[in-house]
Amino acid sequence: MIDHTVNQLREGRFRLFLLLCGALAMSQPGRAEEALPFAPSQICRYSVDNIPRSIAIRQGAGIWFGYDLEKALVFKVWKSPENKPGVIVKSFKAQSSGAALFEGETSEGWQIARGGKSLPLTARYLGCTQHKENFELRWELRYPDGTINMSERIAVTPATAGAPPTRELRVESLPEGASLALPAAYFEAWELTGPDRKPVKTFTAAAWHQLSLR
Amino acid sequence: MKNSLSALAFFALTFLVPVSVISEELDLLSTDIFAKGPNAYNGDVLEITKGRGATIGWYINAKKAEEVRVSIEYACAAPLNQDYQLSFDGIDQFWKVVPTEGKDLKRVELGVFPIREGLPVLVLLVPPSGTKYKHPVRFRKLIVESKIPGNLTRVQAIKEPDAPVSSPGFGSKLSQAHPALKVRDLRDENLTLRVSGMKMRTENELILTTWDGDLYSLDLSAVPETGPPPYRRIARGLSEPMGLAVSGERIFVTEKNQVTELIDEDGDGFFETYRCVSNDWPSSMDYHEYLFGLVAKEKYLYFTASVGMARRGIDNFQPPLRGSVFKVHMDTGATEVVAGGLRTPDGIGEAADGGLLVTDNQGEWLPANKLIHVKNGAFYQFRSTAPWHPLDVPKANPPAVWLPLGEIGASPTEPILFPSSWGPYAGQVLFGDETFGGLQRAFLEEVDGVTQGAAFRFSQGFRHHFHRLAFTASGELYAGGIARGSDQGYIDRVSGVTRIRYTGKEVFEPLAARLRTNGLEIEFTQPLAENTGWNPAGYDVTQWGYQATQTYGGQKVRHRRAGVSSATVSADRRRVFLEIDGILPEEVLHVRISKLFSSESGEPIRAGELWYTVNRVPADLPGEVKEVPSGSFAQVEPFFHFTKGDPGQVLFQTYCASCHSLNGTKLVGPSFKGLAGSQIKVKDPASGETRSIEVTADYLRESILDPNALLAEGYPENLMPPIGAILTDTQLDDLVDFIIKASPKP
Repeated sequence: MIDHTVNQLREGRFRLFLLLCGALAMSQPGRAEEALPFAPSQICRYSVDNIPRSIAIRQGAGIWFGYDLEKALVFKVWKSPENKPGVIVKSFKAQSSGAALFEGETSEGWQIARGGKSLPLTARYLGCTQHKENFELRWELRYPDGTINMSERIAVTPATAGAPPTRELRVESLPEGASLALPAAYFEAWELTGPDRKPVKTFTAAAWHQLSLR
Repeated sequence: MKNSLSALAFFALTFLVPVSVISEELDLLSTDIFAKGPNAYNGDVLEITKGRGATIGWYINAKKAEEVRVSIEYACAAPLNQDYQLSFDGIDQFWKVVPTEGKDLKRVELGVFPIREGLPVLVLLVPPSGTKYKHPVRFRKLIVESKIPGNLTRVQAIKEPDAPVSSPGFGSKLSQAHPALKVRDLRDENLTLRVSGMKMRTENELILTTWDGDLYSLDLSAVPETGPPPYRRIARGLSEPMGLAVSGERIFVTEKNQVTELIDEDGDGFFETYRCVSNDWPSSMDYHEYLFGLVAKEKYLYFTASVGMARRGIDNFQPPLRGSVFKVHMDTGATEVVAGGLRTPDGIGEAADGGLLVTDNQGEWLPANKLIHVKNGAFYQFRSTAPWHPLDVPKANPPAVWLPLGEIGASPTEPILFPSSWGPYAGQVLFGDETFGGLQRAFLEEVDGVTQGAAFRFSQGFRHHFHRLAFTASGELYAGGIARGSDQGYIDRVSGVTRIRYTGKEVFEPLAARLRTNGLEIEFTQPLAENTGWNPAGYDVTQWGYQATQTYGGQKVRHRRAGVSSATVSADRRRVFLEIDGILPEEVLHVRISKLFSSESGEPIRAGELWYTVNRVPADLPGEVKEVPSGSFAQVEPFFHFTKGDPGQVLFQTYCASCHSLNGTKLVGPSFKGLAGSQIKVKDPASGETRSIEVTADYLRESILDPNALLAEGYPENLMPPIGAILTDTQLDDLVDFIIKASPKP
C-alpha cells in the first residue's frame, strides 16, 4: 500500500517533471524550434521534380530520397552538392539538386504474387511520421480481395558511415501464401534483404526488410 | 404576368432602339458588335486570334417567342485545339471550328435556340479563353433565322444608366472602419503570417496556418496591451495549407493536394505525424490547384478545390474533379463530390440552415464574384475542355448572391456567420476579400426553396486584406490577412492578424432586404426619421443579369434603371417596401439609398447601398403599398446628383477604382497619379523585353483592350481583368479621356 502510494507520487512527480520540461522547451524559442518536426532542411513536402504528390527526405549529410507517394515508390536518390542544399524550393515547388544515384522511371508498380499469379496493386498514401531516429511513410496497397499495409522508414543517420543509401520496409496483412514484389526494374538497382540480412526476392513476413542501393 | 408585361413595356419605352434590319434572316455583323476586344478588323471581317477579353456580342429582340436557328459565316485555315462557345441568352452551345478551304467564307449551322418574347436577348460568340492562335478565325457574321417574318430585330448597344455621384458607401467603397468596431492590428512586424487557415482550438487558443506552411498558436489571454502577441509555431513543413479545422481535439488541414490530420504522438505540443486523410482526386503541378477552407461537421470534412490556371493560354485542360466541393470522412477518408463547377472558391463556411456557403472569384465562367449556398449535386458553371465535371449540366445553378466586381468584391474569401453577440447582424454572413479588402456582409432568405439575398458594404479601414475569419465564444473576431505576393510587393498590403470587437454602438444603415412579388422590402437598423423614405425618388434602383462565358469576367446584361413606382414605410419605420416594376428572375437589383436619409434619432445613413440577387420571384407574397402621408414628399435638395457630364468617371469608378488609385495609393495595380504623359517601363511578355514608353491615350486604350500586351514592369500577366471586352468604343473613349484628365503628369 505504501509502495503503491510512493509509486503514484513518483509517477506524479515524474509527470510534473515532464510537463515542466515541455513548458521550458516551449518557453525558449530556439529549443522549441529544434523540437519541431519536419525541418525543411531534412524533409521537403512540396511537389518534387514535377511529381505532384511527392516527398523528399534527407539521410545523413547529403543523401536524399525522393518518393512518388501515389506509386509508393522511390523515384530518385541523389547526393546534394558539397555544402549546398539538395532541394531547391521556388514558388512552393521543389527541384532536386545534386548527383543522381538512382532514377526509377517505371510504369510498373507493386505486385502481389499468389498461387502462381501476379496482381497489380493500387497504392493509397496514408501519411508520414517523423520519429527521433527515422522518418516513416505509410501506404495501403489495394488489390481486388483486400489491402496490404506497407511502412517504409529512412534512418536519419545511416547505420554505418559510408554505407550505401538504405531504407527499410515492412508489409503487414499479407494473405497466407502471398508475397509482395517490387517492380522488376527496381531489382537491378536495389538489394532486398530480409530480417536476417540475407538477400530475398519478395516480402513475405511482417518484419522490417532492407533495401540498399547496389 | 404583370411583371413580365411591365418589363416588356419598360424595355420598349426605354432602350429598344430597333435598326432597319427586319427579316426572316437577321444578320449579326462582326462590325456591329459592341466591343471588339483585343482583335482587329480586316474590312468587315474580324480576325480573331486572341481569346482573353474577346467577347463578341449583340442584343436581339423578338416580338414573339419562337425557336431560331443560328449559323456562322467564317473562314479558318487550321484546326483549333478548343471549341468556341455560343451563348444565346445564357444557353450554351459549343462549336468545334472546322478548317475551311480557300479564302472564301463558309456558312455552318451552330444550333437552334429558344428566344424569349419582348426582352433584349444577348447573343455572345466567345473564343477559347486565354488562348492565342497564329491562324485567325475570320468572322463576318452570325445569321439568325426566324420562322416568323419580321419577328427579329437587332437592338443597338444598350445605354448604361447614368449613375449618381458616388462617395464612400454610396456608389463606392467605404474608406473607414464601421463605427461599431474596435480594431487592433496584431501584426508582429518581425513575423510574416500570410494567414491561410484560422480556427479557435480552445476557448483561448487561436490557431492559424500560413501559406508558407506553418501552424501557429496564439494564447489570446496572453496578448499584451501593446507590442507583438506571443505567436508560437507548433508545426511546419505543410504544403500550402489553405484550410484548417478543429474537431474536438483533432486538427485537420487542407494542403496543396491532400487533406491531412496533424497528430501529436507524444503529447509535447508539436505534431510528428501528418496523416493523409484523403487525396482521392487527380492532381497536377498547376500552381493554382489549391484546396480551400475546411469545415468540420460531425465526422466529415468539407472543402473546395480550385481549378488550375497555368494551362489557360495553352489548352485549358483541368484534371478531373477540379472545381468541386468535397466531403471526406475524418476516419475512413471516404471521399464524395458534393458539387462542381467552381473556379477559385477561396472560402467555405457553414450556413445558418446547417448547409454550406462558398465564395468564388470572378473570371472564366464567372461574370462576377459569387456567394453560393451549396446544393448537393449542383453545378456552378465553370467548365474546361470536354469532358468536364461529372455534374456538368447545361443549366447551371445560380449563386445565392452575385458580388459585382469592383462594386462589392474582387476576390471574396471565407464566409462566416455573425454570432448572436453582434446585435442586429447576428445570423448574417460576414466575408472578407483578398483584393477589395474590408468586410462585407450578406443577408440570405429562401424563396420557393432557393436561397438568395443581398450583399451590403460593412467595413473597410483595416491594414490587412482578410482571408480567414474566426469568432471566439465571447464574440471577438480574429481576421487573418494574406498578401498575394510578398508583403508590400506589387500590392500595398501586408499579412497578419487583426482583432475586431463589436462595441454594440447603434449605426443607422440598411440591414436586410427581402423580395416580394411586386418589389423589395428593405429593413433598417433603426427607425427612419418621420416623413422619410416615402418618396420613390430617394432610391436609385438599377437591374441587370449575367451571362457566363468561357472568357474572363463578363458584362452586366440588360443593365437598366428599374422603375420604382412607390415606397411604403412600415408603421415602426424600420422597413420600406419599394414597389418595383419588372423584377425578373436571374437578375440583380442594385439599390442606392439617398444620403439625405436619416434615422429617428437624427443619425445620417451609412453605407446606403445593397445588391439583391433575384433567383426566384415569390409567386404570392406581395408587399404592402400604402398611401403616402401628407408632407412626406417634401424635398428641398435633390436625392441624387448625376454625372452625366463625365461618363468616364463612372466607368473608372465601376471598373478601375478598386485596383488603380488616383492619389498615389498602391492598390492591386499601379496608381494613375501623374500617369498621363509620363515615361513608364513595360514588359512585352512575348519577347520578354523591357522598354520605356510614354503613357498616351493609345497606350491606355491598348492596355484596357489587351492587358497582357505591354505589362507595366513588376506586374504579372493576367492580373488585370480584360474589361475592354465589355466596353463599347464610346465607353472606351470616355474612360481613356477620364484617365488622361485625372492623372496629369506633374
